[in-house]
Amino acid sequence: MTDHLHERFQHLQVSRDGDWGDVLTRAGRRRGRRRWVLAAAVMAIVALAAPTALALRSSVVDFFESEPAPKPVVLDFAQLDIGAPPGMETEVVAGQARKILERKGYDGRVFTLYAAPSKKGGFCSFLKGGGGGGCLPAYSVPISPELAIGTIGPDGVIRGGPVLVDGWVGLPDAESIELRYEDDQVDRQEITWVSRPIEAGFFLFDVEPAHWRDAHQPQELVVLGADGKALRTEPIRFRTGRLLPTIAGAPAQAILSDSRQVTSIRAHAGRLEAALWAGPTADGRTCYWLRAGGQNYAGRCLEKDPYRPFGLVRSQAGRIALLWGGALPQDIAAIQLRYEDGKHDLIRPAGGTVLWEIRPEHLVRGHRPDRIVARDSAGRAVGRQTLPTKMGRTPGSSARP
Amino acid sequence: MDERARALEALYRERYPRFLNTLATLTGSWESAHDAVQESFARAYAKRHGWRGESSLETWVWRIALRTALGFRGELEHAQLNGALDPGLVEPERDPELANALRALPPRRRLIVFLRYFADLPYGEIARICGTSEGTVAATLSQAHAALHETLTRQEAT
Repeated sequence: MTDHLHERFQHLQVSRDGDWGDVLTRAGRRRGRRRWVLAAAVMAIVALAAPTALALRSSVVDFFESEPAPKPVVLDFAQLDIGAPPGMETEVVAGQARKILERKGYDGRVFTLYAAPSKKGGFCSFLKGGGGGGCLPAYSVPISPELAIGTIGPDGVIRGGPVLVDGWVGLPDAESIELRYEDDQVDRQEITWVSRPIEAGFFLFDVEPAHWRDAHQPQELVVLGADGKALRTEPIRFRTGRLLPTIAGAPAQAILSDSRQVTSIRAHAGRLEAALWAGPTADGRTCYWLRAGGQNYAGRCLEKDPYRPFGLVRSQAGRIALLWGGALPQDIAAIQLRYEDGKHDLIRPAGGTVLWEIRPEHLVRGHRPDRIVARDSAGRAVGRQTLPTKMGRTPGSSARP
Repeated sequence: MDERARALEALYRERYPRFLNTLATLTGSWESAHDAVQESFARAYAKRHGWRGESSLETWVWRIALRTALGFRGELEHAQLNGALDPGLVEPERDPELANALRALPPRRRLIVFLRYFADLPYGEIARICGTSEGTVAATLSQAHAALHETLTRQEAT
């Protein structure tokens, strides 16, 4: 009997891989909270001890001790929300913008990185000297690289710089980062960690012209711990030949030239066009992101076998919520979206996926979406996913202003 | 990285599916179970220097994981593990007979069954996690097997 039971239980189990990097990121956030509680308890001592504590990392910036951003940069931050689609404002606190990193490029050009917190958590950054800026939502990510290329000719050849690889790291044990090129050359730099409310590590590589050419271009970023061991490898692909300017700001891992618009809808009473884009990555994943009102939002790269095929995205101001799905298996004929109040909507996939606006009456407690049931053509339930009713993960714009 | 951090990482890499499958019976979905596993190991990682070695590292993490899963259900995380958990199959339609038979078991027995078959834990570990004796676990599993056998046989007969 027990063997028979064992087999039946075995049959019901799923086999998936975890994500240790995500565990470390979450642990880092917990450690950060604890540090602040401690700091409050020993405030009198901290005034003397703070430089020592900050010195625990090789490169740490105390945000509130940093130089305030100059007025033009504050204005740049303030303008982030001007013209943003309704309900998708970043809510950046422009007045708190501060300088967090300054770096000389290969030709002596100076790049200065500024950051400002958002009222909704997370932060926005702006790189003066090239590259622009972007925002990261309240939750942390292991690594979020961005690419910026000065000028590209119609033939796809990079005509002018700067060519920048920059971004954020959320891995708490990260100390340095390497940019590895196709020709096996490597650039390495320390990660600059910034204290709360930013609480992220920053890096910035100014790529020399020798690495603008095919077969010499940046290939991957490798995040290293204090012991020099690789914590995470993130492939990056330039593929400048057929860059599509309309999707700048998409996840940096996506191969832009192979990306496409999957489906689109008119949301917010027809005032806002929202489109779902998809693009492959070099390591076989597929990135999806929303494009609305000319900007990109909520990018996510899924494994070949999507673990969490559906996502709910709610605008920072909470007025718009979109349900989107990754690549759906072919046997799924309809998606039943069920709400807390027992009502449901039946959604037909388009282009092998789903993009759906949650109606305003289903954005309030007791009526929110809470479950998805995937059904085949015979109406049989072939998959289920519980949705987080709080929709706590607000989208951050990864678009450059 | 210190020794405890390495041990936690090794435990995670080796046992992630077991944690996922077991916690899913408490949280009700694979997605929330994944979040619960991640949060559990993050808590363990952050508190690793507080592990006093009174139980094995795995037992310690399992206790954190079950309490975290309780928290995901909005219940008190400091409740007694032995009686507070009310687990069930995530996808009962995949084996409705077994799901029904399990539902007929008292929650405490059900938890021990899941810890045995999904977490693949030996009796001693289950006992330490639930704060009971190894003999009690053995007796509980024996009773659970008998009850499951009876229910499943009855269902097959009808």
